This record gives sequence, structure tokens and C-alpha cells, in this order.
Amino acid sequence: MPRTAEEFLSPPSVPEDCYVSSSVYTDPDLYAEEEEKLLRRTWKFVCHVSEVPNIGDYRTHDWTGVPLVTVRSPDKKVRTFVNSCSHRGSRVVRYPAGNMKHMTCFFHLWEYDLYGNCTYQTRDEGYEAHGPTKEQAGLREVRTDTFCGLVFMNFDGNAAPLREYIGETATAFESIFGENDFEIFHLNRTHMKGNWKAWFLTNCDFYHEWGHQVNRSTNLTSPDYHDRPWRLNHAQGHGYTARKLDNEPFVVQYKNYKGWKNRDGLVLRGLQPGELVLTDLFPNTSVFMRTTCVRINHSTPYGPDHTVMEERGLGIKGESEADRRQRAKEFTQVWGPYSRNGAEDVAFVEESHRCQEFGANKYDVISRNEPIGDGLQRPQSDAYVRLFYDKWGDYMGRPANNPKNLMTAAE
Amino acid sequence: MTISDDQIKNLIYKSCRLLDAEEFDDYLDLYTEDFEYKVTNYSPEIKSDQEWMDANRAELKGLLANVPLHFRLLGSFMRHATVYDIERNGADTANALTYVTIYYTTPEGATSVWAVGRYHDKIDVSGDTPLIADRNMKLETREVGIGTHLPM
Amino acid sequence: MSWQQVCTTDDVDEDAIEEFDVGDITLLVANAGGEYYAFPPNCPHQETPLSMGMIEGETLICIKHLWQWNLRTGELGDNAESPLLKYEVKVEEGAVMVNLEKELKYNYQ
Ligand code: FES
Ligand code: FES
Ligand SMILES: [Fe+2]
Repeated sequence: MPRTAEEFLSPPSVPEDCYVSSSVYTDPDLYAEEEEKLLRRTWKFVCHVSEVPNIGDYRTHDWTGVPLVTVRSPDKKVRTFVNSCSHRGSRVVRYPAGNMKHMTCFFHLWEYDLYGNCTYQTRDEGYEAHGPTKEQAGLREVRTDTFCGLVFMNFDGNAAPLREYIGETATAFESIFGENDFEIFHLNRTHMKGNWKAWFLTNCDFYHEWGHQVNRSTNLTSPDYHDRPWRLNHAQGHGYTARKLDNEPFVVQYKNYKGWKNRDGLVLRGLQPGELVLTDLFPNTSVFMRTTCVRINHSTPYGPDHTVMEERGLGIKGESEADRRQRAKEFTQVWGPYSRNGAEDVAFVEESHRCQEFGANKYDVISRNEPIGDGLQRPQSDAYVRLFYDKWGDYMGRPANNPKNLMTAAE
Repeated sequence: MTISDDQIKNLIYKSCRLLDAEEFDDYLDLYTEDFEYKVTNYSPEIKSDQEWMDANRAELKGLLANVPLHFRLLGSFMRHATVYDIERNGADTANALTYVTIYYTTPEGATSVWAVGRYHDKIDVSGDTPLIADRNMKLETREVGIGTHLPM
Repeated sequence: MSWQQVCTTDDVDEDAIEEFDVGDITLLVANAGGEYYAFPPNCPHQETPLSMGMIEGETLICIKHLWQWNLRTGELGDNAESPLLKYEVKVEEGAVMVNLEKELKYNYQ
């Protein structure tokens, strides 16, 4: 039966934690608050260590609107600085990646070393009277740490250390990243008209696999598809799916997509042929291990309705050209802008956003419940999405189903 | 009979028209049996070339057969190509360089530039009609919105 | 039209589904482990072409919502909510013969 206006505007008749208000995807004030209370207080994925292998190698990126540069300093430690000159604020490093001996601002030519110290002020006698001195003009350093070759940063000096933050979810990928020497071979970025949470949660919503022809044919036809439980990390808001309850791998049936073969060559150490392991780290980093390659996915929001999705592919360092080509081929069959899967996800997010933006959709329903026993849930349950919004509520001090309810928020 | 430059150009232009029209069977007929098709680009982020699509005949055929079942970008593409250079490699093959601009038109009729790039083709000219033996679409454009399932 | 040769056994690889036209009738022939089955071209659910479906053992799977049917017994498998219509088939000296007396059609809503 179609709904009346009143029904349409009322919350869905499901438990409180089983829906969220669409305003979490669209409201500019909530977004500003997210930047402050959540995005600047959690660990943000920056890059893979293979992007900055040598002293002086750098990557530029943004977070909560702030331009950043991550560089390997001469002591080999990877550091991140706010990429804005202490003089009149210009962006200092302007290219996406490269190698540098020091950072020279192109505007008035101040210079910084790779530890963020200001080492040169052009015609510095002009600062003798009023300052600032070089000592006062260093770049702002941002806390940076690495786990399993994944570089993360956090604006919050008081946040728990990265290792503690990842917690037991490391089980999903620590040994695989330990046994394989990974290197980046793929990167693509896509601007999306949609919210960063919607992008991340598309990865965490296995039910959406029904929307992908390739997932229907290769994943959902696998007889044990539904037998992998979600492993939820309630303390930190992460989750992963890996082995089934009997510890057997979940095996993707690649042969079911016309023109493809099953993947039993070039298998990464720690995985079985065809095996797929998916990890979601709060608030927006996903690590996928798909038999022969790894995908790292994260996004950079620039507002409630503007997100830049960034996708990376990892292979094995030093492998032969033929092996790399095969690995890259298998990666791009599923992911990337010309793939069977990745490209479609962007449209899922944008089409939902289009309806949420002007109120055509008031509530996002996250009520799927698929128990598998032992208090665990099957992959197509919304258990992880609910956990995500529970954590979101903790950081924001607001319930996701009614974020503008100040009475509740004040509690 | 030697294959003329015009025949090679017509082959390349036909590949654009057939892809625009999504006449996939006829499109595949323009290729040799064991061709290799790639979409590549240079990424300044990772400081190397990368492949975004890499398919042989069986893979491309499977992919194109699946396209109607995929959730996909609505609208149409129009490829505008100019062959800049044809170089003979002995009697059997030639290399052709083609600049390509791809326009995308939404179902509502709004057109924008989707991508620009260059076809680096190896053409088999040993038979009566030329065939594409290898195609590498080297993209300049690395930002393609929601992407597409189609070869470029 | 009653019994008609639709194809030869070699025309349909093992675990493959091929489409054929006989007169005005379009039908699919599947080879499931050496047994041949014939049925209308689209899924009884939402008219998705079953030629894009899959054969797993004796099971036919539609690629959209993964409705499944046992081709031999006609039994409804996972997800399936309505039966698959099948033509009678016999194989004679490599010829796949199908009883096309009446075209089988679903009443799509
Ligand atoms: S703004 Fe950088 S030197 Fe002046
Ligand atoms: S259309 Fe075939 S199962 Fe739904
Ligand atoms: Fe997806």
C-alpha cells in the first residue's frame, strides 16, 4: 500500500536503532559538527607505505578541508604536516606525489625541512623587529602512525594510539599483510555527489550485492555465501567478514561470470584460492583481500554532499611483469572506473543522495537481521551498519535516527 | 593487395561508431582473434602507468554480453577521433596513433566531455581487410565519475 | 509443429545454455552434465533472459534474483517462487529434438 504524507514523514515502524534520519547525509550543520567531533578525532587512512618508500617521498591529501602533506623524513619516519605556509598560508607542496629535499613555498620562498622546521625566511632581516623567528614558524605537525604498512593520521593528540584503535579487527588482515610484501599498483579517485558515510556503508552493506551483476553471479551463487559471520568490534566501531564458522574460507565463483576463470593462481599468502576477506575500519576505511590482490578504499569528504572516493590496489613487490599484469587485470575486473563493480557503487550513492537531498527520502532503513547463532549475524544483516551509527552517535552526542532532537542530544 | 592508410583509418573510425552504437558483435569483428585490449593511464599519485581495463577476446566478449544486465550509467557516448599517425612495421603490421575525445550525453540531453585519450593501435594488415591486433586506450582523463563498463 | 530438431548435441557445451529460433518460437537449450533441457527464453519471475543464467549440476539459476530450479525434476530450488516451464526433449543420433507443439509462455503481470 502506498504511504500517506503523514506516514511518509513519520519514522518507519522498526526499532529505534534500525533506521537513521536522512539528514545525517545532507545537513550542513551536522557535517560541520562531524568534522569537529568525529573526523578530527579518529584515525584517517593516508596512504600505503609503498607510496613513500624513500626519504623525501611525499603524498599530498586533504582532511576536513585541511591540505596535508605526508613525507618520509631523513630519520625514515613518516610524518604529516598541515600543508599551509606559516607566512601567508599558501599551500606549500602542490603536486600529488613526488620526492623533495625540502619544502619551498613558491609564494615568498620560505623553506621548511622534512621535519617541518622553518629553515629559511627570504630577506629575514625584515623579521628582526617584530618576528616571527624561524623557530616560531614551523609547520603544524599532525600525529601519524603506521600499522601493517597502512599510514594513518589523527588531528587529535589525545586519541588512543593507532594500534589500540584498530584493536582486535587486526585479526582480519594482520597476518596477510605480514606474510606478503605489498606494493601499490592502482589508484583512482572519483568525485561523488553524495555523503561520505553513504559511500563507506555501501561497502559494509552486503545486501547491496544484489545490485551488482558481477556479485550476483560470482558471490551470491556461492553455496556458503551466507555462512560467514560479521565479526564486530563494538569498542571501536569496526567490523569484518572472513572465514565461516567452521574456519573454511568463503570462495568466490569467478567462473560464473562469462569470460572469467576461477582464481587459483597468484594467491596471496594467508588466503585460499578464491577467498575473500573484507574489513571495515570506522569511520571510512575498508581493506579488501580478494585472493590475488588487496583493495584499500577510503574517502575524503568536502561537505555533506561532496565526497572524493579513493581506491588503491596492492600487489606483491618485485613480482614479474606477467604476474603483476595478471594481478592488475583481476583487480580491475572487479574494481576501478572501468570495472564490473566499483563503478556501480558510485551510482548507488549518488542516486540515494539525490532523493535525500531535498527530503524525498526521510529515513534510511537499516533493520536487516540474519542471525547465524552465537549472537552472530550473517553478511547480509545490517548489524555492522547499526554498529556504525551507534559509534557515530557516541562521537556526535546525537542519535542518528533523530540527530536534531536537542532533548536527546543534551542527555 | 596492400592495405591503404585510408582503410586503416576507416577501421579505427568504425570501431568508434560501433562502440557508440553499442553494436558489440560487429565491434568485436574488427579485432584479430587473439587481440589484447587495454585502457591505461599514467598516475602521478603512484608515479607509474596503470591499467584500468585489460581484456582478451573471451573476456571482452563476456563483459559485453553482461553489460545489459549490469546497473549502468544511463545515456550515451560519442567518440570523436582523429588518426594522427600511421607507421608501417614491415608488410604485416602497422601502428596507428589516434586522438580521441569522448562526449557523454545524459538521458536528459546534457552533454559533457567524458574523457580524452589516445588509441595506440597495432593493426594487422596481412589480410584482405585490416584488423585491430592490439589497442591501448591511453587516457589523459582519470576522473570519470561513476565510470562505465564499456571499452573506450 | 510438433517434434522439431532444434540443434545438435555439439551446439551446446556442457553447463552452457544456448538460444535457438525454430519458426516463430525462441527457446533455450541447456546442457546439464550431458542431459539436454529446453525451456522458454525468459525467467518466469521478471523476464530476465535465462541465457545469461548458470547451470550448476542439474540446477538452473537465473542471474537476477537467483531463482533456481532442478532441470530434471522441475523441483523449485533456492529463492524460486514459481515453476519453470519445460519442453519435452529427446536426443536422437546427436540431434536435439524438442516437442514444440505449443509455445510455452508465462503470464507476466
Ligand atoms: S606564503 Fe609561503 S612564503 Fe609567503
Ligand atoms: S528475474 Fe529471474 S529470478 Fe527474478
Ligand atoms: Fe558495491
